[in-house]
Amino acid sequence: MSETYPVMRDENNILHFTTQSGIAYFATFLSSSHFSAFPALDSLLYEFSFDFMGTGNPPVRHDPKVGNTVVALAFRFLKQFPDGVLMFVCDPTDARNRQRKILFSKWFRTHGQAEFEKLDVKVVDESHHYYASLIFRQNHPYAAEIVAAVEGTRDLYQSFK
Amino acid sequence: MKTKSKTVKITGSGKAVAKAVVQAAENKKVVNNAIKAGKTAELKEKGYRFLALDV
Repeated sequence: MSETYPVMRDENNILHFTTQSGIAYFATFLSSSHFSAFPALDSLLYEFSFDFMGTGNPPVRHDPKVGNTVVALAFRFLKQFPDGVLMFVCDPTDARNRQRKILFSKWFRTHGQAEFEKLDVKVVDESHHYYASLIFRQNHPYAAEIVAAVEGTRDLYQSFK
Repeated sequence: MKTKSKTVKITGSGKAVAKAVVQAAENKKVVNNAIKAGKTAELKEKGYRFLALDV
């Protein structure tokens, strides 16, 4: 993995790092409950998120260590929790969500490790386009179920009891 | 061997995975806004649980 920023975890399990130019970022792994009909998988799913500690448009200065650090956190999760499933959703509240998806995919492609699978999902409804990714190891015990659920051939909410 | 990557497009928000994505987007907004506002403790009170990743 390329050079990364040091990360600290606070008492609420929020992860923090600060760039060389003084921009503070945070990241979280939120315990999720989207697969309540399938508790074994439900307990493995975490929503990964990161953002900078500010309002308005994010900093535009190119800093490859930010992407390195974010991806390193994602892979650290997958190393510590080999059966974990990481869900990453791009913020859909402005017009930049597709750019975020492209950037995250680029980071993952640059630093991605061969043993992981990345399943990208695009959801289109009346008001928004949502871009999400599910990341898990290729030999995950529920890999087939995850893929089938996302592709709509199997509904984990209803099919697994 | 490369990391496998695949894209699935879903129209409408009726399917289970679409509901999960939309809910996760809402969670992200709530969590990130609370952290930026220094209201992390309120998230805990509302039941949001974050993994204690070893860093």
